[in-house]
Amino acid sequence: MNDEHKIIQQVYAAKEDLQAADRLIGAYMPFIKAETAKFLKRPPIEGQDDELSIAMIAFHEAIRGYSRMRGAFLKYAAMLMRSRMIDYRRKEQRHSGALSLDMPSGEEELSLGDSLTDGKNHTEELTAREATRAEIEELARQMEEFGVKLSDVADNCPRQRRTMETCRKALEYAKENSDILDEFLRTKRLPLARMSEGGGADRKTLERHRKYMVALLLIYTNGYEIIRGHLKQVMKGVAGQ
Amino acid sequence: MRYMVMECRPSYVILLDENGYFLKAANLYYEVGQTVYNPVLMREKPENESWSSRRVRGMIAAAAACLLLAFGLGYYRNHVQPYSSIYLEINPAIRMELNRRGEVIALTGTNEEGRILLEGYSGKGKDKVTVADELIDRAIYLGFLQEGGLISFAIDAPDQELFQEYGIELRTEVAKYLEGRITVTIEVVDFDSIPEGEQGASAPTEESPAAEITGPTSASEPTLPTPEQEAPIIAPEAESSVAPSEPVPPEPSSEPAPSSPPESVPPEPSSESAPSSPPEPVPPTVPSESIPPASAPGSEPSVPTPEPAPPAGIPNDSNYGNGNSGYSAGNSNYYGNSGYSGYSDDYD
Repeated sequence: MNDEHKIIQQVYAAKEDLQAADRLIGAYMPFIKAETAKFLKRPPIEGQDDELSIAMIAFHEAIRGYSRMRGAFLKYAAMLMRSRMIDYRRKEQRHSGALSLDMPSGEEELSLGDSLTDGKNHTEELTAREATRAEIEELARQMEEFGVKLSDVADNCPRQRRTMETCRKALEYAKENSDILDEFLRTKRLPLARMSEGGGADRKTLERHRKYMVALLLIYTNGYEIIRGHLKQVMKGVAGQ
Repeated sequence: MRYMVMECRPSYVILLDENGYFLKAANLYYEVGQTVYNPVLMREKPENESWSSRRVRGMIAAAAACLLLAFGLGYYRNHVQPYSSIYLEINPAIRMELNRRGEVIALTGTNEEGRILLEGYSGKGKDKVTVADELIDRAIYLGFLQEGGLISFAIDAPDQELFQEYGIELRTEVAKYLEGRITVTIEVVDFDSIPEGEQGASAPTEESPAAEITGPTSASEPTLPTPEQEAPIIAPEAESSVAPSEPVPPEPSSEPAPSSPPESVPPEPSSESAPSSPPEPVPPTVPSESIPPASAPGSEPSVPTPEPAPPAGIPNDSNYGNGNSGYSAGNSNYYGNSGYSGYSDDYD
C-alpha cells in the first residue's frame, strides 16, 4: 500500500512537470516493455516495434488522465496502453501490407524510405530535412530567451477552434503591424494589450495561451521561412482543415 | 494533413500541424525536421471531460446546497408555515395559528380582552392543547371565565379530517383538564361555517356534526341563531357540551351545548326546527346536567335524536363526565335537526 501511495504522488508531480514525467517513464520502462510484450506475445524490439512507442505515449496519457478515483495507477496505465495498442493495430490492418517507410531495409542503415527510388533527389530531401531541423533548433533557442519551451507550447496550445481563432486574429494583427513584432523582440514581452485591442481578440484568452502566442509570434519574425511555409494554412484561417 | 516534427523525446514527440496546432504524438522513431502524415496522436482529455477535483467539489457543493434547501423547505413547511388556525373564544378572543404539526406558531388577541389575556404569555412552540389549557387557566385566574361559562373553539383547517381530529382532541383534553375544577361548556365549530360577519367574535354556532342525523334541514349555517342568548334556558350547569361541528353545517341546529347559557345557539335557522323555539338555545335540556349519559339522547328529554353519534365528526363517544355534570351524550344530539325539532317540541 505504501508503494501505491508513492506512485500516486509521483504521478501527480509528473502531471505538471514534463521532466518528472520523463523520469517516471524512464523508471517504469521495464513495466512498459512488459505490457507491450503481453500484447505482442513476444518481447518488443526497440527501434522497430511501433507498439512500444505507442505504449510509451499511452503511459503519458495515463499520467495526465489519472485521478485517485480511477483506482491503482499501474492498472489504469496498463489498461490504457493495451487500449491504444489495439487501436493502432486496427488502424494498421486497414493499411495492411503497407510497410513503414522508416523501417530499416535490408542490412543497410538506410530506412526503407530512403532506399526507395522515387525519382526525387534524396539528397534534396535530406538537405531539406536538415534545414528544417536547423530552423527548429534556432526557434527553440530563441523561445528559451522568452522562458518558453516547446513542450510548454504543446501543453499551452489552444484546443478548441474558437480559442484558436482568437489567437489567430491577434497574430494577424501583429503581422500587419510589424512594429509590434519589433517591440516584442526588443522587450522580450508580449504586447498583449495592443494585440487584443487591435485584433479584436479577447485579452483573457490570449493571456491563457501566452506561451503559444510567443512561439507563434517568433515564427513570424525573420528567419523561419520553412516553418512559415509549413503553416501557410494558418493564414487562411483554421476552418477548413 | 502534414505534421512537422519539432522535438523528439524518449516517450513522445511534438508535432506542428498545418493549422498551427502543436501536438504530442508517439515517437515512432522520428527525427526533428521530418514531416509525417499519420502520427499516433496523444489523446489529451480536456479538463472538463475528466472528473477533476474541482468539478467534483463543485458537484458536492451543489448537492449539499440542494439537500439543505430541501431540508430547509421541509422544515419550513412543517414548522414555520401556518397550516391551520384555532379561534378560541371565552370572552377574550384569541387566534392561535398552528403549523402542520399542530404546534402554535403565533397567538393574537382579536379583542381587547384577548390582548389582555395574552399579555406576558408566550405560547410559541407549544402544542395547541397545552396552549389552550394554559390560556384557559389564565382566563380563570383573571376572572374571564367563570363557572358555567362557555369556551368556544372555531377551527379553521384545510381539510375535514384535520378539523375533526383537532376538534376531538381539544374537546377531550380540555374537558379532562377542567375536570373537577369548573363546569363549563365547550363547543367546537368549523370556522368556515361561520358567516362572515360573525367570524371573529361571537361564538360560532356549532355545527352539528350530526348531519347525519338529520338531514339537511337546516340550511344552517351555524350561524344562525345568533345566540340569542337566552339565558334562561340554559341550564346552569353547563355541561360542557361539545359539539363537534362538522363542517358541514348541517344543520346547525344549534346545539350548542345545552347548557351553556350563553350560547345561544342558534337553532337552526332552518327552522325546521320546530318552531318552538327557534332559538333554542337550548334545548335546554339542560336538565341534562348531570346526566349522563349519555347516550341519552339527550339528556334532554326528549331528544329524539338519539343518535348519539354525532356524527360526523367528532364522535361524542365518551361521556366527558366532568364530575359535575356529565356531558350529556345527548349533546351530540343537538345536532340532528330533526332531532331538534322534535326536541324543541319537547320543550314546549
